[in-house]
Amino acid sequence: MNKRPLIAAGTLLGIGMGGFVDGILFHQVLQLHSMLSAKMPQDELLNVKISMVWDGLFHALTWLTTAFGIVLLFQAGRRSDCPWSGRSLWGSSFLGWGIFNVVEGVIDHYLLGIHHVVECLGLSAYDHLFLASGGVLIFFGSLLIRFR
Amino acid sequence: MNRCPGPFPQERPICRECFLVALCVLLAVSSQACPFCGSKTGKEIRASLFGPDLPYNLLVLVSPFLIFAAIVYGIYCGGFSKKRFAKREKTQRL
Repeated sequence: MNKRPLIAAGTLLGIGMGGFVDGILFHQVLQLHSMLSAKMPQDELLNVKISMVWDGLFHALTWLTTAFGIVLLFQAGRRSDCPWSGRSLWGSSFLGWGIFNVVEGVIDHYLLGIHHVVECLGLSAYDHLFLASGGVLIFFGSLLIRFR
Repeated sequence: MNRCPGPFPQERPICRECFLVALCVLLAVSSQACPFCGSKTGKEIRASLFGPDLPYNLLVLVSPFLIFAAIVYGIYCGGFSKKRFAKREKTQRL
């Protein structure tokens, strides 16, 4: 049996859902940061409007990721050699969410510094927490996938 | 006279309300500042969006997603499985 198509689909869905949590919760509801908030202070209408466009493009890519995850999930469901396991799907979704937090955290928060979790604090404990949450999610997701 | 029978007995056409809401939205100050509006703010947004930083900003936006795609491709093709690694090492030794 081959679990890889299901795990790949779940991982993509997890990446997409993780992206939406970041975009909806941190960018829009709490407004702690936006895509380019370290470059553009969010205290002027012009900067807010420009950031809104980049946030929209980020959401568009996240949407595409999720849509592609659904396509892969559909394909996995049609394969006779792929076990239809809820545990693997949940595990890979947590894995994907963790991958999102780690990759996005390392690239955008640490390497490029284009935004931070709480922008007014700059690089802070919240960024470390965001990264750590990614590690925990990857560990938990991998455990769920391997657990029989 | 009930011209448009619907599921609710008190139902009435809401075209006028819809028109007024649409008018308010279109006349709102925020819509005058849309990135593709001809207003001063709209022009400033466009100038900043399509400025010299555009390639860098696009790269910043896309780079995590390229890594996500590579990771998922690796998972799909079994690039991270122990068996695959062992097989590769065996082939390299030969």
